[in-house]
Order: sequence, then C-alpha cells, then structure tokens
Amino acid sequence: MSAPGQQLAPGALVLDAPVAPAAEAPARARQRSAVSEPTVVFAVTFAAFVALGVWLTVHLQVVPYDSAFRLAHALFVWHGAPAKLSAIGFVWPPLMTLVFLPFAAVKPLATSLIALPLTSAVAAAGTLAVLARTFRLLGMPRRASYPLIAAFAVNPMFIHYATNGMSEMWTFLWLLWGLYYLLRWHLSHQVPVLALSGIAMAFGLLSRYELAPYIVVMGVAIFALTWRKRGADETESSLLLFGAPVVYGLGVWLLLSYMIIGDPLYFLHHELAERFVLEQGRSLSEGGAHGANAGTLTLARLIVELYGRLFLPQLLVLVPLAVVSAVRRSGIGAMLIALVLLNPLMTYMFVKSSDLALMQLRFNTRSMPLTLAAIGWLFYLSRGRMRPALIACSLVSLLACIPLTWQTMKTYPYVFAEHDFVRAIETGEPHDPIHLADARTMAGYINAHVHGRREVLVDDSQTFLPLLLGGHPELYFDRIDKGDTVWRKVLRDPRGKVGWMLVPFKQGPIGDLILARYPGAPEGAVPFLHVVFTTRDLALLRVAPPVRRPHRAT
Amino acid sequence: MSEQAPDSASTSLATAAGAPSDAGELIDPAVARAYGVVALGVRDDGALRLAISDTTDHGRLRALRALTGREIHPVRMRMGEIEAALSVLPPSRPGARLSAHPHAQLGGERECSLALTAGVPFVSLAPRSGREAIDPAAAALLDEGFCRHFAIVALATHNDVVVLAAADPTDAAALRAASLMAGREPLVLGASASDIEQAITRSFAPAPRDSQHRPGWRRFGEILLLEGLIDQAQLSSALRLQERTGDALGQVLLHAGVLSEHELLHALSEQLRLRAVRIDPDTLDQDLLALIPRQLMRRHRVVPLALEQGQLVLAMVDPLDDGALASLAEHVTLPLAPVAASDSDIDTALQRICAAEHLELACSHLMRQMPAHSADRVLSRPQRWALILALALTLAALATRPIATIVALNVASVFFFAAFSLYRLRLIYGAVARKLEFPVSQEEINALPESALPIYTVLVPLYREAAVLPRLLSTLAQLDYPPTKLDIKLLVEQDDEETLAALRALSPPPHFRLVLVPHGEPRTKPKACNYGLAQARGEHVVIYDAEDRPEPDQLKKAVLAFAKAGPEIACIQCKLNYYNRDQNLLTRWFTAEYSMWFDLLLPGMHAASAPIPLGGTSNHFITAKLSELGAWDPHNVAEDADLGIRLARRGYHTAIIDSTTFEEATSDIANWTRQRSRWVKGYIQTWLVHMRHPLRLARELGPKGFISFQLLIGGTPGMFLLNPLYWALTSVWTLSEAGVIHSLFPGVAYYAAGAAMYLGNFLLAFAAAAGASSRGHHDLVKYTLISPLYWGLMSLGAWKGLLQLVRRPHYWEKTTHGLDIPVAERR
Repeated sequence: MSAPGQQLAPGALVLDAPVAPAAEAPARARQRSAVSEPTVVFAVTFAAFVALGVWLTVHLQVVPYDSAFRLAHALFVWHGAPAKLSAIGFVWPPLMTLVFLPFAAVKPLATSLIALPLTSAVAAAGTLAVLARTFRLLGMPRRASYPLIAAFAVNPMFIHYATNGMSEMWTFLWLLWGLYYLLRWHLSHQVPVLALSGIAMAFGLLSRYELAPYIVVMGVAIFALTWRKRGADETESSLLLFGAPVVYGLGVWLLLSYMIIGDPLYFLHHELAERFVLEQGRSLSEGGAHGANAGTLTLARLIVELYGRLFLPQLLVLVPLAVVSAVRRSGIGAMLIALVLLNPLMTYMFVKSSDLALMQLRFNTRSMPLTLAAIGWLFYLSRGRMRPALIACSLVSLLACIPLTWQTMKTYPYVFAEHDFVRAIETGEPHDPIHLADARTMAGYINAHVHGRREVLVDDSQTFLPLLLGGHPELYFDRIDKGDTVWRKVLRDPRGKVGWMLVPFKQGPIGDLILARYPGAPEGAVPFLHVVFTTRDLALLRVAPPVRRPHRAT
Repeated sequence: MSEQAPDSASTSLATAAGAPSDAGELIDPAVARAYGVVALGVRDDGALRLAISDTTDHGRLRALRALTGREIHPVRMRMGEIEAALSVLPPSRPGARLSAHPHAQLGGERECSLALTAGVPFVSLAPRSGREAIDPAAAALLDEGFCRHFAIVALATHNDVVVLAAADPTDAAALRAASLMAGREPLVLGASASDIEQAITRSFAPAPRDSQHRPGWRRFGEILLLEGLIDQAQLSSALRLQERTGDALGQVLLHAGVLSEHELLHALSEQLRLRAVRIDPDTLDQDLLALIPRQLMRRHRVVPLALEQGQLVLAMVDPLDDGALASLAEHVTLPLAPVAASDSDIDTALQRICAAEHLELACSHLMRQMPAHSADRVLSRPQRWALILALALTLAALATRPIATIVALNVASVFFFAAFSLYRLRLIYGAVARKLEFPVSQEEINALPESALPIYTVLVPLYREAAVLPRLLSTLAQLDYPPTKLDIKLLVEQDDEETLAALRALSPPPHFRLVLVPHGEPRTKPKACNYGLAQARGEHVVIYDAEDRPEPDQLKKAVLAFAKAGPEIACIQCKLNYYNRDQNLLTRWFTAEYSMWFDLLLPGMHAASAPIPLGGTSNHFITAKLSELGAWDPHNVAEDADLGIRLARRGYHTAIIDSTTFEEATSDIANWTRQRSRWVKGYIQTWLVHMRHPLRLARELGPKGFISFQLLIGGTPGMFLLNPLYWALTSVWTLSEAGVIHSLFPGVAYYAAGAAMYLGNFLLAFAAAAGASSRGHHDLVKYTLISPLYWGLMSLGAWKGLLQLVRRPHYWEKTTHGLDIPVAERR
C-alpha cells in the first residue's frame, strides 16, 4: 500500500495496480474523544443530585404536589386506558410532562417517585454543565469557574429544585442554553448557532410560558446587534433562525390544543390554571393581600428585599455590569441587565395586578442562572486585576448568600414547598406534605379489590396520587380516557357504567368535579354511593348497580 | 571567518565612530550599514576586527568575508552602540577598494572598470584557505541558467538583502531580474567574469550533463532568443517562473502560451542535436508496438516508430531520460535510438495504442477484480431469494393477519424514520457549533513551494456539454496551480461530435488533454472517469463536472491536506454549492439542501469517522489508492457514494476540507427530477451491493459505520419513498380522525411517529436553514422554512428512481447543464 506523498510513476496505468488484500489496509484510526469538561461537570453533579434527591423524595418524602401531578400524567401517557399523548394535559406547558415520559415509561421509577429527582437532576446537572461551557467560552479559567459553579450548585434553593422534579431547573437549563448559544453567536459570528439558541428558547417556552418576555428581549438584542453591522439579509436570517423554533413550537402546541380540545388558547384562559396558581399561593401564604393595595415604592422595596434575601449576587452584579457595559459599549451587557431585571419586573407587574402571593420564592428564581452568566460576561469585558477581584467578590457573595437563602426559605411567607424542604432536612424526619402514605394505602386497597379496566371513576386533578403510586392507571376512568363528554355522561349517572368512585373529602384549589356533583358523597350522603374505604383525604365509593325497572304489564 | 573565537569581553565603542581609519576604509559604509557592523581594525594576522551584535551569525560573517576578502574577527557589541557608530559614518564611496587585493590580482580589468562606473566595490570570489566565499543557500536563490547567462551570482543574504556579484554591475535589468528572483533587495558588488563563472560552477551541483558540454552547445534560452521565438522580457519572466516551480524552461514557456509545442520541439532538438519527429497514429507499425510492453510505453511515454539500421527508433518526450532508456533496454533486445516528439503526439499515439485495453479496464475492471462490489447485477442470487422469501412471508402475513402485519411494518418504519432523523440531527448539531473540516490555513497555502507540488490529474467527463465548455476552460485556467504540473483530461465520448467540435474550436492550452472515450457499455460517467484514470499521470486525481467552478486554491489545499493527514486518508471531499441559487425557487431549495449536506452533514460525518458517501465531483484521491480500490464502478449510477463506502470498507477515511466547488443548480423541475431519480437509484444500488454480505460489511465498517451506512445510504432513499405514504396517512387522519389509522400506531410507535412528525420534520427543515446561513446564504433562510414542499419533489424523484432500477438499472439519466445561460448565448 502506498503512503501519502508517494510519487506515482508518470504514465503508470493505475488500474493495473495489484489489489491489496483488505487485511493490509491501515487500521481504522480510533478517534478516542476525550471526555469534555462539561461532561464531567454533568456526570458528577447529576450523581450528587440524584443521590440527594432520592434521599429527599423516598426517605424524607419531600414531594411537591405539582411535580407529582405531572409525573402521574406522564404515567397515564404510557399506561392509561388507552395510552394516549393527550394525557399530558393542556393546561400547563407541555414540556414538563414530556420530560417525565422517558422515566415514566419504566413504571417502578414512576411509582417509587424516583423519576422526580431523576428529571430535575438531569436539568440541574445540565444547567451547571452549560454554565461551565459559558464560562469557558468567556475565557474564564477553571480555577475561577469551578468555585463559582460549586458555590451556585450548593445554594439551597438550587438544591431544592434540583431534586424535586419541578420545572424550575428545566427553565434554568433552557434559559442558560439559549443564552450560551447567543453569546457564542455574538463572539464567533456563526449565524447557524442562533438556531440552537432558538431551539433552546422554544423548549423553554414550552416549559414555562413566563419565558416569553426573555425571548422577546433576546430577539431585540439580536436585531440590534445585527442590523447595524450585518445588513438586512443577515438580520432577517438571524431573527428567523432564532425565532422560527419558538413560533413553530408554540404553533404546534396551539394546533394540538385546537385539534384535541377545540380551543387553541385553552391554556391561556382556562380558569383552572389561573385559579390553581392563585389559590395555591394564597393557601400557602395564609391569605395574602392584593398587590394593588401596596404602593409602588412599597412594592418595589418588597421586591428588592426579596431578591436581596433570596440571591444576593444578582443585585450586586447589576451596577458593575451596567458601568462596564456602558464604558465598553457592550450590547450583550445591556441585554444581560435587561434579562436579569425581567424577573423582578414581571413579579412587580403580576403582583400589582393581582396578589402578593405571586411573590413566591420559586417565581423569582429565573435571574439566578442569568446572574452567573452576567458575572461571566463581566469577566469577559474586564481586564487585568479587575478579573481576580471580580471572581473573589462573586465567590464571596455566592457563599454568603447560602445561609441567607436558607433562612429565607425557612421564614419567607410566600413559598411553595421550601418550608417542607428546610424542615425535613433540619429534622431528618420524613415529611409528607401531600400525604403520600395515605395515597399509597388507598392505591393498595384499590389494586387489591378492583379488577377490570376503567372501573374507578376519578377526576384526577385532585385524586391522582393513588393512580400514580398504585401503578395501575388502567383501573381508573378519568377525563382523558374517553374524552370529557363521555366522562361527564358517566358522572351524571355512573350506575352500571363504573363500579367505583374516588373522591376527596374537600375541594382543593383546583376542584374535584365528582365532589362538586355529589357533595357529601365521602360522608355517605349519596344513596347509591357507598363508602367502602377512606383515608385522611380520600374516600373510595362503591357505586350501586342500576335499579331495574319491572317490565310494564301489557 | 567567524570560526575564530570572538573577543570574550564587550568592547567599548567609544572609538568606533572615529575608528582607525585604515580599518574603516576596509568596508564600505553602505555594506557596514546593510550588515550592521563597524570595522575596528586589522589584526597582525590580517584578519579584520568587526564589531557585530551577534557573533554567531555565520551567514552574515561569511558574506562579510566574501565582501572584504579577509578573515573576520568578530567582536560582540550592543546594537545601540553599533547604530550610534554607523550613524556618523560617511556615505558610500563609489569605486572604493574593498578587497585587500590589488586589482591586478583580481583580474578582469574591464569588469573592474564597470564596477567603478557603477560605483560599487570590486571583489574576489576565490576560496580562501579552502573555505568557500559563497553561501550555497544564497546561490540557490538564482537559477543556474540565469546566473551563467548574465554572469551574476548571489553571495550571501542578510534579512531582506541579497549580495550579488556581477560582471557587469551596470546591467540594471539583469540585476533587477536577479533581485526579483531572489525576492530581496540587491546589494551589488563587481567581480571578474571568470571569478563568477567559477563560482557558479562551484555552487551548482551536479555538473552539467555531458551533452551540454558538446562544442557549440548553447543554452535553451539563447536558442529561443536567437530563433526569435521569444524576447528578453519573456525569457526573464519565464526564468522567474521556473525558479518558483522548478520546471523545465521549455515547459514554462509552452504553458505560458509563448511557445507552441512544435516550436518547443524544434528548439529542443536543436539544443540536444536530436532528431524531432511528428507521429501519425494511423501509421504505427503493430509489429514494432509488440516489441515493448504497453505498460512501459505508458510509464516512460515512448512510442516505437521504426527500425533503422538495426536500431529501434523510439519517440520520446524526453530523449535524454537515461533511466527510461535503461528500463526499456532491459525489455528490448534491439539497440534504442531515441528521437524527440511532442507530448501531445505521444499522448495521442498512446491513446490510440491502448484504447482497447483502457476501455476494457474502464468497463469491467471492478467487475472482474471485485465482483462482489460491482453493481452489474442489481441483486445477487441470495438477495433475490431473500427478497422473494420476504415478499412471500409478508403476503402470507397480510392474508392471515392483515392489521397486525401492517402495524408491524408501520412500527418498523416509524422507528427507522425516528432513528434516521435523530442520526442526521446529531451529525448536523455537531457541525453547527464547531468547525469540523480538516484544517488547512491560508498561511500554509502561501508557504507551499510550487516546486514541491506534485502532478495533479483533473478528470472532466463531458457529454453534450458544448454550451458550458468556454466557461469550463476559463474556470480551470484560473486554478492556482502551475500549469506544468496539471494534467487536465477532458473526457469526451467518441460520438459526441458537438462537444468535440466546440472543444477543437476553443483550442485549449497544452495542459488540457482531450481523451476520446470509445463507445462501450455501460455508457456512464464512471466509465469515462475510469478511462481517464487509466491515463492519469498525477499523484493525485480529482473529478470536476462540466459546469464546475472550483475555488482556485482547491488543489493546493488538497495537496496540503494529503500531506498533513495520516495514511488512512485516501480521499478528500470538497464542498459543493451552487452559483445560480437566485434563479428560481427550486434552485434556492436545492442550494439550501446542498449547504446543509456539504457544510453541516458531511463535516459531521467526517468528525464522527462515519463512511462518507462522496459527492459527485471535487473528490480528490491519491491516485495509487484509488486504483487499489478498483476506481469507480461503471455500473453504479451513484458511483461516488459507492466509492466512499468502498474506501471506508478498506479502512480508509475521507476528509472534508473547507474549499468549495460551485456548480449549476438545475433550475428545471423535469431535469431536477431526472437527476434526483438517478441519485436515489444509485443509493439503492449502493445499498444493495454492499448488503450482499451484511456480516462482512459490519465487520469492515465497524458497528458505528454499519449503522451509519444503514441510516444514510439505506435511509435516505427509504425516507423519500415512505414520506408520501405518511403524509397521506396524516392528512386522512387529520380530516377524518379515522380509527383505523390510529390503530396502526400502537403505544410507543404513536409517540415516535408524533415526535418524528412534529419535531423531526421541523428540525430537518430547520437544518437546511442552518446550512444556508452557515454558507452565508442568508437570503435563503426564509425559503427553507417551506422546504417540506421540496421534499415532495424528492419523493417524486425517488419513486422514479426506484421504478427505473427495476426496468433500466444502469441507465444514466443525464443532467442537462447550462440552463442558467441565456438561450441565445448557449447557441
């Protein structure tokens, strides 16, 4: 075999060359790709978050209602009767249920609730890996970036949402991913990279609708950065590459909503979503005041105070970032300031228009990863001794905010499951805020006594836990299985159609249609519904067979 | 010279400015400034003490020794001090005596007076104490012929200055030419003609060939000048070019269009006192041809012409090629009598002599050598039986359990579609964010010495391409590669009178060679390429189509990439794109598709070490390795993709480099469909050929390569064929929500199909947008968002290709080129 560079004799009839046996061919070069730095960050933090998450979920039973609800629906997608994608529901953004799908496909992962920490650990580790990539992109050395990442990763708020299956970590991931590619586009002028940014933000929007303003800000930044220097064609293509996935993602969601439930904007104006958020916040905050009652300055002060207590670095970074961005005329710096300020601004607007309960901690976390990105950009813009000083200050503020955040999670009035998380860790005792043990008992009873598909009529909005924990959603007849119309028909007269009904004792924030139709049924007040088994929250009712009317004599 | 130990301690130069006058006289101020030295004095042994900042700079010291004719004793000084001393030196003194030797000793009084006239020092070039006064590296900057012709020699170099010794320092043109050749500013000295002649003889090895010492022998340039074939300016220019490329002067002049082949031959025969002949291929004696093996004729480019006085008269391009003559003498018992013939005459004669053999090789070499890799049969016997069995089983299953069978088939295809989409997206994702092409920088190209470039064969198959010929010739003429090292073969079918006539009318330069491809089945592009390859002279070979416009530096990039790559790289694929993207919507879509394929997908495959289906043109090969593989399969209508897989099976890799060849995007739907049907048919052929022995294929490609092969070679046509079916199902289901359709998608298949439809389709369309923007075609991005309409056309072409595979498997659907040229212009 000839080596490269070997001279072929001029005029040689090359087709006459002897055919070398395959064995003589050079060995295929094995390209052993080195494991990249972000992969290591991902692997290490994923393992840590999963271990911690399993301890918190399985042992301490710190499980938020929301994430369990979504996991239940992911289980219905695979194992419902029939299995159908529309079980993801059309009220909340779809992606948070979809991300559970791979884990829910393996039933034990869902029924043991391990799928919850698994999904959020993926997102949390992904967030930190993208952060590592962002820092590397911005020229930050490892000795500076790793401590910052570690200090961010051990923040209790981060740990809480990295282990509980909620959507916050996925929001972090998509937001940071979109930002990473936007920075990369800006620094490398590789326009196709914007497509990846757009795809990340489309996923982000389908995880949390509140990311829409972030997409708008990023789009404006792309326009501003491109229009001046690159001309109309490139501006157009840049915006299309960034915006098309977002528009398409939203379009598909609207189309599916229209095709399946006949209302493309169902998720926007469905009272359930709105009511759920408000009621949940109010119930947790012991009756919050209406935000409109607070003065503008008071509200602003409250928000600044909240951000100071929750994640101090985000307040600290704004001033130097503004100064350096102004001096260096950095459009990206201005965009980052806008992005960091978006969350408090949105909180202000929501609270002003409705309820102080919307000042929940978890609604105010989106600036956390953006703050880290802003530190990275500040590092990129600064020179000389500024850089070590910046890293040192950032690290100190990140470390200092850990006890502050912990204290805030413990005492702040507007929280989601933070109180449970803090208490469970402090006491080391199982903490069961949503009564998993009861639900498991109920599921056990149903599994043992109910046979056949779609035998137990449920409105799973409040009574989903036995369906999830029992692992046999096919035993239940919920609103998804045959559609709402059929379900409501059965609800009107269940006799002869189902053998059982599962109802809560009291109406929750979302409301249970069975209980609404048959108030008092859990207490045995409905004649043809006999209470056969109860827990603290739920009652299993036996539906009496239909009364046969005698044939009229002729 | 500087071998003497320098003064260990630094010497103060307080005295340098007013240094001993006799020492200062020994070196001209201009020389002192050019070399950054100051003369300090003369030692007892006659050596000159010079202040210099770097006492180890042997090149500079050698030059100074040559200039002064004395041994040099260097004394280290700080540069600042030297500059201060130099600043007070007087201006240069014309005619100053720099050598210690009196003029009488130097000889050449005429030259000495010329030096005085020119105001330059006059020096001796004779070796001292056995040491050569001339730096060989400096001498090599000028061509020997030039040096002898103008009696000039380069003595030394320093930074951007070359020290030239000339017998006639007043010959400004010659000195300017020498300066240009050396690429440096000249510092001129005078020397005697005999000194220079001897210095040239000492500096240029080996000694001239005997033939050149014959009485009356003249340099080639002289002959051309005397004959009036060229003028002095053309000679100087050709000598400069020769310096760069290292080619023979005659070849340089020929390819520059200054000389015709006939004139060149005439001048050569005069110089070498050899007979020159014209060859008439019709009169070749078959008995004489039988005396020399064909392979030797081709290798040494000789043609036996006649028997004269017991000697075999051989027409040769280079009759002084002793190696060739020795090699031939081993096979021929008769004494050999070489005569000169033009390259094109030899080429034409050899084409005629070897036509049958070349045709046989072009058509059936692969089939004979590696029948398992030849697409001469669509299906092998086991494949035929497997297909029959599979059809029978499917029909039986359909008859007994129709729904379950359809569901099973559907599930399989849905998962295949999902895997295909995921794999493509993974490859594209990798390429969007990174530059994965094999790196070749502009600096490397600039630094590449043209004299080191190998001969490059360019194959251009042409069939009914008269319309694009002028553009083709002009494009190939712009290649940044020495024409003397280009072997461009225009492969024209023998019966293509139109193209032949157009080509003859255009009379391309001598490095374009017309190769007449004889009639023979199959009548395909790969057959023509094989025919051309059989006559290739280059170390590397590349294919271009008739309408191609490669970037001018592409060949150099490929040479560099081959040189930098490991031995596993046997092929380099350049990117393809279109120059007429704005012609209509079809060309826009087509350009976006190509941008995605060549700018994202192939680099992604390169990075993943996946077997790469080559593009139709601009694939560069190491010729020897290509021949090992059996070259192109003339029966495969996607011979490029097939060859890429064969390369991978033999353990070779294909690298992608960042150089583009611009082609014509076909703008006519019927023409486009024909082209696409051929591609799809070829992909299916390729898949079938390599799947004759699936286990062997899996072993040779490895698991990753095997999966990649299935997904890209099998998957691409498969997806085009299946798409219409799924679009129909989706449409019917959307309109009617028919339960039967829903029942075809159980559980996981339903979700996979949903993901493939909603996400996969969008991302594949979006990948084209990323490809277009990656290429800088920002205006195309909006069109890619409606490219699913284009997929419909792809499916049309795919179905046409499949049907044609059954009816006419080896038929080559010709793509018409030149549709972007206005009709009037085409005529």
